[in-house]
Amino acid sequence: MTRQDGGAGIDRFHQEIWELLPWYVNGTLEGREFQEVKDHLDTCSFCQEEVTRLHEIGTTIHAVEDFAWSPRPGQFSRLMARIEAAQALREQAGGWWGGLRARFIEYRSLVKVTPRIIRLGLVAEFALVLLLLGVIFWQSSSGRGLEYRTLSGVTGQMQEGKLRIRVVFAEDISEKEIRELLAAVRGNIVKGPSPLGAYTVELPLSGSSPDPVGALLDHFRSHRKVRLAEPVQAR
Amino acid sequence: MPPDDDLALIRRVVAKDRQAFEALYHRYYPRLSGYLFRLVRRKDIIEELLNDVMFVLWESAPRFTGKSQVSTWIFGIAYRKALKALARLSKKPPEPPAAARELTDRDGPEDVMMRKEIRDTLKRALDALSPEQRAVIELTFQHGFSYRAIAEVIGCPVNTVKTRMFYACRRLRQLLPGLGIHSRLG
Repeated sequence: MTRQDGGAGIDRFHQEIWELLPWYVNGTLEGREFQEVKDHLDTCSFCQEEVTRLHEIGTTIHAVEDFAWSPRPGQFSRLMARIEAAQALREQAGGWWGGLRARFIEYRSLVKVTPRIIRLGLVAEFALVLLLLGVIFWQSSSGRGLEYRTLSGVTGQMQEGKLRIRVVFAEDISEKEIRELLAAVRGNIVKGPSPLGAYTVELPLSGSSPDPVGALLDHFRSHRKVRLAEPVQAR
Repeated sequence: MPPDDDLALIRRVVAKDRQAFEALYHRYYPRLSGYLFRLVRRKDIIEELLNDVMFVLWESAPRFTGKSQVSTWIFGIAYRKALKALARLSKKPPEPPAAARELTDRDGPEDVMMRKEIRDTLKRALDALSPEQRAVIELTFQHGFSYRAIAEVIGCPVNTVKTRMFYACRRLRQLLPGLGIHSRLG
């Protein structure tokens, strides 16, 4: 084989140059490769002939291989009808989940074409929102200041077998009547009176009664000179 | 066309902008129709193939990453569609020979004969190539792609592109100089 047909007779260096020549001819070769080919062509008539042949091939293809084609009238409308039909079929088959997935793919593609710096900003903003939501959730679940308790709860403060209740006495009760009332259940005033006249009374719980809290509350509420008797809520 | 214009159109197509899609259609169908014809060598299926390419473009626009140029991506879709069509066509009878280019008042009888001879010779030469080699020749000389862009279109390593071109050119050199093509071009 001769060197002209690019066959077995062509040496490896020339083969590497020849492999680049088509793109040297069409003007897309760049940088180091372009310079190497250009420098080589300055001194090699063999490769210059190949450039000429490639020019002729390219020119022939351009000049003779003309193909004139235009779409028929309404062609684009038919294409859009096909696209819409496919979209309708997909939505019908996918239901709400398919539509959701399609939306997700669309949004994801929009993210991909969004400039990087804007994407980073959006991610940082989203992370901040998540952090704020986490703080709010943590605060609410720790129960700080959000728990609402009523005075009529019957749990009372039952630490170490004792109950505390809040008592408001009538204005005309005597000190002797208060002492007798407390002594009957071994109660002690531990706090008060408050500005509203309420006393906090601590009482031992009796294990013999099936409802010791109820029994103690009945003891105070049944006295005609007790206006209020309610258990103190546990803190 | 500036590549930025194509990218802007693709972004609008992602947002299902039909006007942008139609603009892309009219911008690319002249090049794509010629490219598809030279790959499959049949005029009767060009419209169908072009529609297939544009349909895929519409559906796949959200997945275009922007790492390559839009033209490279579109020609890659067209290349794959053409290969599938060729696989289908291999099972069907061939198309009748294409009609000759219409004469004009300026064409003399010798010009007519010469152009017909050159066209027929080139057609036979290109038909002798594999579809993959034809694609490389077409994308290089007709559409001005770099070898790296061609590798993306065809989906193969750059060395494969160079090898296909090397053997395609060798084959064309064997077939074309037989009629002295280069001496007849004006």
